[in-house]
Formats: sequence, C-alpha cells, structure tokens
Amino acid sequence: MNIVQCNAVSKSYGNVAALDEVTFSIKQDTITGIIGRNGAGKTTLLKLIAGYWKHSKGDIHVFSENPFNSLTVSANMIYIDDQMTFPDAMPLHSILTEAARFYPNWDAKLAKRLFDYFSFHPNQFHDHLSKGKKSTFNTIIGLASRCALTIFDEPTTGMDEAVRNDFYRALLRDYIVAPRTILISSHHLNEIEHLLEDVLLIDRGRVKLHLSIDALQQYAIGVTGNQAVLSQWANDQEILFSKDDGENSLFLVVRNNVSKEKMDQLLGLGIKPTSISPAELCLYMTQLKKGGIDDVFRDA
Amino acid sequence: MHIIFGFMPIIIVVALVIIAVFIGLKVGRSKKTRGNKSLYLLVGYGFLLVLSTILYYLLPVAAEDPTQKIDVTQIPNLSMEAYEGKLANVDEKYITQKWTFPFEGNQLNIEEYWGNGDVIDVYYGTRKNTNEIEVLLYETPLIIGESFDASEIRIAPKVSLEDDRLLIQHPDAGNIQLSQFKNEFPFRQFLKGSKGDLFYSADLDWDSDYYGDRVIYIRVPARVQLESNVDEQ
Amino acid sequence: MSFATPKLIDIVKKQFLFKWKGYRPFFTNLVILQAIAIIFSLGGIGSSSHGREGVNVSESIYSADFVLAFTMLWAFIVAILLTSKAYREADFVFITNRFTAQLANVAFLFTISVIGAITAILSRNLLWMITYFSSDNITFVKEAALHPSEYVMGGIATILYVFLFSAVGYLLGSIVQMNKMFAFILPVVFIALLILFGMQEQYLLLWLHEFYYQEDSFIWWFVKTGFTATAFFIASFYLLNRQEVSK
Repeated sequence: MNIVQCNAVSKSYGNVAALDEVTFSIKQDTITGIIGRNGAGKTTLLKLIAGYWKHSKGDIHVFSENPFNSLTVSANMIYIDDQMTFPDAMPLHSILTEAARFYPNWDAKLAKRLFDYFSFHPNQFHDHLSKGKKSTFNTIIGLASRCALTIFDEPTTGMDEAVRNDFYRALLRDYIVAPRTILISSHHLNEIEHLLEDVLLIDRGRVKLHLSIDALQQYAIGVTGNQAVLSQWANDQEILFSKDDGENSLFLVVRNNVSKEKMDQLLGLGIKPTSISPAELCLYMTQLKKGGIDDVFRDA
Repeated sequence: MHIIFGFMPIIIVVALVIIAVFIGLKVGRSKKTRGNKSLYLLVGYGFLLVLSTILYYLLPVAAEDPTQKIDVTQIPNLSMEAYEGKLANVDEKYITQKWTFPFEGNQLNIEEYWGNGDVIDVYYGTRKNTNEIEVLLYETPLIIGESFDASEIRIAPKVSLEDDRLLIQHPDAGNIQLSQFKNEFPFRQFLKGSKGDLFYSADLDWDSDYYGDRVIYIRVPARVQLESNVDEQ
Repeated sequence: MSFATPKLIDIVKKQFLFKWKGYRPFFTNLVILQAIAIIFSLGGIGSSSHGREGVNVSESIYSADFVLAFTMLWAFIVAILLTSKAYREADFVFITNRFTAQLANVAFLFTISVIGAITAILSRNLLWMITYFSSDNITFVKEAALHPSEYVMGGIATILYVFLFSAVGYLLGSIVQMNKMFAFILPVVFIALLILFGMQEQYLLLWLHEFYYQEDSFIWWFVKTGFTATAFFIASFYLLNRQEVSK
C-alpha cells in the first residue's frame, strides 16, 4: 500500500522549476528521510504532499487522492515545521486541547508527558517561545497527533543537541508503539540515519536516490589512487563523484557493482576501496560541481 | 471636485475609525488581553449593557409617554379669551395663582419689570363693592410635542403692592433640557410612515408644537384710576 | 485500506470553535471601539435649542448610530484579517481544506456580526445610563415604543448590515490575497469611481443609499442584502479556494 505516490510531479514558479518530474512512492508504515541540500526542493515536495501547495504538472496521490483541498488527506496527515502559526491568543495548553479535538488518534498522555519533560508552561504563548522551544513544541503535536502520515520538515531547527537526541528517541519509541508513515526532512543525514528505513535523496528538484538505508550503505565505494591509472580503471564504471586531490591523486566514488574481475584489478593496483556511509554518499551525490568548493579557488 | 469635499467629513470619520480599529487591534494583541481576559472583558461589557437596559426600562425617567396624547382641543386659548374680554368665563381651574391686596386709594400705578424671558400679557378688569385689588394668573398647561407636559418648568411672576404701586416682576424663562434617544438607523429604516434619514438631522420640529399660554388679569375696584409704565393695551 | 474522511460539517464545527477560542482578542477590539464610539456619541448626534412660552428648551438627540458604524467597520476589518496569510496558515495547522476553513470563517463572521449588532443596539441604553447618571436636570423623552415586529426587523437588519460589511471586507481581502497590488489599486479605484460618478451627478454612495437604505420593504431589503453578502462570499470562496497556503 503506497501512502504517497508521485508520478512525474513538477512544481514551477515562472520559469524556475522547484521540482522537476519527480517520481517515487512511499510505502505505508515506513520512516523515510527526505535528504537534500538547502533549496533542493525538500520543502516544496513536502508541501505538495501535505496539500498546502498545488503541483504544476504530473500526478500526486496521497491516500489515493490529490492532496490539494482534500479533507481526507488533511484529516490523516500532519505537517510539522518551525513555521507553524497558531492564533496569537492561544496559550500552549489550549493549543494542545484544540489538537486533541481535531485528531481522533490524539495521545493526550504522551503529549502531556512530553510537554512536562521539556518543561513547558501551560500558559505560555507560542510566539514567545525561543526558536528551539517552538520546534520542540511543534514536534510534540506531531508525535501526539499520531496521524497516518506524519511529515516533519526540518523539525529540529534551533534545538540543542540534547533535545534533538531526545526527540529522535521519542520519535522512534512512539513509532514502535504506533507505526505510521513518517516523512522527515533534513540536510544532515548522519543525525537521523539510525531512525530511517528509507532515504529519498533530492537534488535540484530531482530525485537522486530512493533506497533503503541498508541498500544505501552498500551503494557505493570510494577509491583513491593515481589519477591516470584510476581514470583508466574507472572508465567503464558508474562514477558518482570524483575529486582531484592534487598531486596526481584522484578520489572517486563509484557505484558498488564492480565485477569480481575489476575488483581484483583494483586490488592488484594496490588500491583498497573504502566504504562510503550513506551520509557521505548523499553529500557527494549532491555536490554542485564535481570538484567542490575548491574549484572556486582554483586558477583557471 | 465638490463631491470630494462633500465627503470629507465622512472620509475623516472613516480614517479616524480605521486608526481606532488598528489601535484596538494592537491592544488586542498585547499580552494582557490574551487568553480568557478578552472573554472576561466581553462578558463584563455585556453585563453592563444588560444592566443599563434593565435600568432603562425600570426607572421612570421618560417625561413623555407617547401613547398618552394630550387632547389640546379641550383647553381654552387664554390670549383669545382675554382679547375678547371673556376671561371671567374661563374655568377657574386655570387660575394657578391669586394675589389680593386691600386698597383704599383712587390711583394705582402699575409697574412691570421684565425678566429674562417672555413677557406675560397683562389685562385689566374692574370689580364692584370691594376695596381689594385682585391679581389672577391664568395658565393653561404647557405641552411640548404632543404629550409632554412641561408646565412645572415655568416660573411664576412676582406681584406685590407698595403704597399705590402694583409691582409685577415678569419671570425668567424656565430651562429644560430634553434628551431623546433614537433607535439606530436599521430600526428607523422600516418604521411605518415616520422613516428618518440615514443621517439624523437635529430639528425636532417642536417649535410649532408648543401649546399653552398664560395671562395676568388684574381686577381693581371700579373707582380706581390705572396708570401703567407700559403702553396701554 | 482506506482512511476515514471526516464529515465536512464536523470539521467546519471544529474549525469554527478553534477560531472562536483563538480569535477572542477581536472582542477586546470590539469593546474598545464601542467604548470610543460611545464617548463620541455622548455629545448627541443632533441638538437644537429654542425658547417660547416662558421656557427655554434645549434638546439633544442620542443614538448608537456611531457605535453601529464602528461595529460595521470592525467586522469589515476582522473579515480582511481572516483572509490574510497568518490567519489562513493558522487554519491549516489542524485538519481542514480551503472550503471548510472558509465555511468556518463565514460562520465566525456571522457570529461576530450577531455579537457586534446586539452589543451595538444595547449600547444605546449604556449611553442613556451614562447621560442619566452624569446630569441631574435632564428630562428624557421616550420615543414611541416599537411594535414587536419592528423590533425583530430592526434587529435582523442590524445584524445583516454588520454581516454585509464583513462580506465586503472578506471579498476585498480575498482579492488582495490574489495579488498584493490590489491593496493599492482597490482604494484608488474606489476614489476614482466616487469622482467619476460625482462628475456625472450620479453619486455612487447616494445610489448605494438609495438601493439599500431607502428600501422600505423589509422582504425586498432582506433579499437584496442577503444576495449581496452571499455573492461576495461565493466570489471570495472561488478566489481563496485556489490559494496556496504558503508558509
């Protein structure tokens, strides 16, 4: 059962495409990390899924419906980010009361415990909270609402490390109690890696990868060696990233489907492949230029 | 461009209101009025409104009861009666004050002094077989509008006799301040007949709606010669 | 597997209650505004004085017209605010779609119109009470009591006038949400219309006055006003239903 189904979905503003023919699907009861650099289109994608924004082209289905103006989607989905606006006049405790009225699966006990754990005061006002506290409060709503589709868009903005870890732990534990489909966007994968089952890597409005974390771990290997020799070796390989380290040294990230024969060749050259962690892989695959920031400083 | 100037007062009022609204909004957003406090304020205000409404209907404050129209056709016209010399025929209940002075002389000087109000017309008559001067104040009720009896507001003249001088001090005008509370314009819109305009004009048109007058009637022994500081009527 | 679709009406109810609780500061504004209007009205909306028959009569006419006018503008501005970004975003925090959010807005605007209208009508008595207790020699003249049917018609008319203004505000707000340029264009167009119509001796405001206020038949007036308000809301629905909630 796919909760989210996108077929060639585009979203553009004038001539600029924020999302360009994105196709993927999200299975029920999975935690998927939406990973990408700033401006890659993570938020755009999530807002389309939430039905806040309207896609320009393609098909998007959430719970088998177009999410824009769908009451079904809204009722089974919650979107949490650090921009959530609540009526000015509502103190935190009435926001929780309201959330409980709206969401049938609302876990009041959990909300209350988290609320106390993070030492909120019931009569505080949301817009008086610090950035990190706001984010923390919003995630409480996100967790306690127990929506079939829970979207966290950069939920940890402004949180300190201890709170971030607490949140991740809470998310995981609550997910075990009440499995649901969770989309969580972030630009640093390593922090949320342990939570995720799947990763959807987005770069410049396109889906780069959509794999399980396990697959991602095996997805690529890194090799470093003499530029000429390595280029020669790699010319029939799928190169995901290459970096000229200077002094004739080359670093390559290649797809981990190297044949036994080629691998032996590599070992024969005295080059030992290194493993590439999912976080590193995501970073490499979304570099703007193959040479990285150093290219900017390199003389032409 | 005259039309713009014609609308200037409205535009200024609208601008004032918009400023007031935004001040109101600012206050509304401040910390103090958040949460339940704004509800308490509304409830308190509502209570005040209900209280004032109850008082409005409980307190007997209205002078005019529009359901009780006074029939003025039964009230004599004093000026007319006096002019025709028929004052003596007027019902005695309209004599609201009476002064009598013993007088032996043959010459009476009437001196009138004006106050800060209307002069009451003075008429003369004679009496036989008496040594008394009689001064009568005739008054018919002062009706403003159709049903408001304002007679009590009027101040009586002062009459006294010093030797052979009869002094008449005309009274100051009585003052009355009337307040009328009108229904709001949506109520006025559907009133049968007496529909007001959207912008209510001040004139109540009561100038023509006064009824009631008063005269002073001086009766002296027939032998007495009258002399007045005012031209003879 | 299917996911439950909540009943539309339930969500509208929840949204309405959410607004009712969240937007209470509007009532603080209302009370402050009516208080200001009452102070303005203490001088009376008209006065004259003349003397005859031994009395000087000065008369003042009071009414809560000002209070009502302020209340109408209040509803107008509240409606504009409801269409603004921050308020629409707050709708989307919890379950909604654009349609339910708007239905809840209309219900909310109608509710505040009722509250605004009733407080405005009753404020006349408060005005009276202030006048009564702050002076000793004022004689109050009662107006002819209204027939109950006139009370009902007047009350409904007051509510509907306030509601009509909120509908106008809602439409203008929706148009501005489409493109912020309209925030400048609309007032300019309005003043231009005033001048244009003024030059041809067809005063726009007089025409409106004629069309709505000079209508003596309650039924016809109700149809006209109700139709206008409904049309304005439908137009707003159409405009806002396509708006993205951009955060």
